[in-house]
Amino acid sequence: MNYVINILIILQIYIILALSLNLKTGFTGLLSLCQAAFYGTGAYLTSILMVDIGLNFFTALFFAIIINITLNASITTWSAGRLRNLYFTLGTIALQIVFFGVIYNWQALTRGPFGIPGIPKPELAGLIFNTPLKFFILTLFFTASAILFFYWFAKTPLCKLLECTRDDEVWLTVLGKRPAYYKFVSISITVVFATIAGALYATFTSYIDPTSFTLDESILVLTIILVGGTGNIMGPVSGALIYVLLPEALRFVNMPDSIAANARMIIYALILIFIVRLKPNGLFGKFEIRG
Amino acid sequence: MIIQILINSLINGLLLALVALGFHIIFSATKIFHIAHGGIFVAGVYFFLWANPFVGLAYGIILTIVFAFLLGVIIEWLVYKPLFNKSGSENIALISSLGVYVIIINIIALLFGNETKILDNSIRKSLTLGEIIITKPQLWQFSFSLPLIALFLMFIKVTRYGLKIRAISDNPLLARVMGINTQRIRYIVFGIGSVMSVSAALLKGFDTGIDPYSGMAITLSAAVVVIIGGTDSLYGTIFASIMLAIIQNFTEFFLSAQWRDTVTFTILILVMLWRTEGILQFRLRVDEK
Amino acid sequence: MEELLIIRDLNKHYDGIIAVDKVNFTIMPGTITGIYGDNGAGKTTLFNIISGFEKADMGNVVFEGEDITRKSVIYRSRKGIGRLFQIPRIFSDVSVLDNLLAAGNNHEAKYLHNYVLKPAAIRQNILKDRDKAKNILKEFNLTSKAGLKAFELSVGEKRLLSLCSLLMNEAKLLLLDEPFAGINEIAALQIQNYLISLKSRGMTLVMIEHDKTKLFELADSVYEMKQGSLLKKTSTSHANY
Repeated sequence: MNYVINILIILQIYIILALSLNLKTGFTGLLSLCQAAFYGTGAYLTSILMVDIGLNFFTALFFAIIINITLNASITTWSAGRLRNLYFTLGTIALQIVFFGVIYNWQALTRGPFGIPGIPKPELAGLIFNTPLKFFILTLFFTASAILFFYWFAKTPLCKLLECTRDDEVWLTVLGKRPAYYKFVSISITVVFATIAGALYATFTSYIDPTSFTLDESILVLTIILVGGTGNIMGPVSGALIYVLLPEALRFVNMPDSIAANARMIIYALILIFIVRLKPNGLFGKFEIRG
Repeated sequence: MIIQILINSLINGLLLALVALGFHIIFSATKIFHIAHGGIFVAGVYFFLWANPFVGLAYGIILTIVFAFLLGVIIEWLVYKPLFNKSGSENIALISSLGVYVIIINIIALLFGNETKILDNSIRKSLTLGEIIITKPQLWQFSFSLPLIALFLMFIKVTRYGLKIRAISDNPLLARVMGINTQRIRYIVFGIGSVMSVSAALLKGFDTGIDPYSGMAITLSAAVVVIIGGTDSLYGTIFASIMLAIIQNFTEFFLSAQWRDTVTFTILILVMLWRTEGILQFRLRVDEK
Repeated sequence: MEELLIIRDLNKHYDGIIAVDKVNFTIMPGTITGIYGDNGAGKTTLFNIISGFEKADMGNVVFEGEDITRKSVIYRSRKGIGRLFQIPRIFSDVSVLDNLLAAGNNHEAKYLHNYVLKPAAIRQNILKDRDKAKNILKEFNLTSKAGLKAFELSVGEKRLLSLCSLLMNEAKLLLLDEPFAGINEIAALQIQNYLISLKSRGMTLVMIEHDKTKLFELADSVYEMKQGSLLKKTSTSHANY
């Protein structure tokens, strides 16, 4: 039973990550490979604030969000203003790799490759989320909030302006609107939910190290939303669902665990290649990926 | 000590230049950001590892080169060509390339495991000149990569195919109007590019060894030098490769090996932001010419 | 009546090539001004300088009495300078109605916190903008297309949509770069009628157009642009052609 609950928790963390990247990539058209940097910054900040300073989970999460926006969202917005298309994507790869270098090497703060052990479980008014079931309820709360938020947000005029930023920045400036502002809004919201996912991951596993936040992880999250489809809620959710449940399906056909991890990535990448060719808006998505 | 680092850097730089030149012609002729280049890089070494016991060293190397060429061509045939015919955007090509990379890496990890493989386990003889030590693999690297680069440059600058590749890089539409078979040139570009990458991989495999994931770092370094050196200049790419290798080696020596990629990408960001003109910054295309 | 736009001694060079050479002219509110000339005569450059996409080497652009030579595109557009491009610019993946709503000035809806603090104001603005957008669409006969994605429209309709967006954004001066290019006779005639009705409502228009006959028909004053210089033409000189 705990096994199933653990899988569901991981699933929900990926759903939050995918939904948040979807706003940036699907709605605002910023193809980026730095989601693991956003997520990792969130995980590290929350852990450091909880372990070294002794803050409560929710307070730590709050400050982590603020710091993460100031750091990552402003850097990404700035580079989005100066670099376009491929060069922006390359810029996000750069951000991802610099982030990894910093958490790996800044041992005084992050303990580098040794990672941060003993991250306490979240606590709210005396209730400690220390069993898988309780933690599941906590993640369910955040996931449901994320889904509701994005569902609501997609209908606001602000979100329409993000889509307009994706479609034609020049026209947006001619209409007197500042594209950089809308990019900042989009990236900041992405950062907020990535931080939440990171904080949940850190407290769920109680231990984090740099290897969970590599470029490969960023590629994975991007793949999830591209397979599922971008621009709506269904896409990212189904993408995450397929990714997390694929190994279970492979186990069902008696594939040994030792090769299941690699087989999963191969199957997933194959789906990705076929999808961009045959159905560029993903399995359940609304928008095509474009240049 | 400084001279030792400079010599190491020169050799590393030449290896990087091999990968980068391959990346360069693919990027400039097809506008595809070929991340899968890193997958081909490692695939070549593992192919050699598998073929070597059957056919020996010399034939192993020849077969590997053929394999690299074919792998490049097959990727173009199966993955990029259908997108090109649908006039897919550069982002779609990038995403497909990521997919190909993930597939290659995971197939290798599945077949050979995740550990580092070193091709040559014989006792390392090295050349000592005063305080400077040059290992035997390094000597090989130097004496193979330099002629390879020269051959490549000759191919691009002198031969008929080289001319066509340059024509396509300059203006694909015009090249097509002039009756150049774009598709055949694309196959050749992917083939040659992959051969360059795998040559570097073999030379590296004899020295420090290789693991399935080591292709990504070198491909990204190659992309960085192509952009720093300018996408219109092969010499710029070679020069930037050596400069970057010098910076990387000094970083490893004075800081630590883990800062390497961070420094590389910090340089990339600085260059991209500094060179606000030209390819790097988007021009407000109000005229739509 | 005060001039809407004054251009003084405008100069622009590209690597020694003169694109705009000492251009002087004024535009009165409620008029149509036409500019014709060969390709590369500097017409589009002149538009780029007025709308702020390019900076002039010398000279001033004065709009409603304010010197805007050094201001950004966004500032100028907020002052009321609207620009229509030769290839119509639209937000292709959102609906026609949403194109207009995005062009509107729903100031409160720009800030996320307002959705919590002032939901009523936002709702009111949305309703107001929606009415305004629907009126504009009705005027331009696009009501039946309101729900379509913008990329599904024809070239002529896309150009109308661009024009509607500028109206929604309350532009006072419209710079039109070849508004009749690439569309059929009937659609061109339709756009022509819309331009005349815009003028009668007090809108000021400047347009680049190849077809001189059309310009003399439509415009109050006509200029020829030749190697960067602007020469005033009268209908008599037109008769000489």
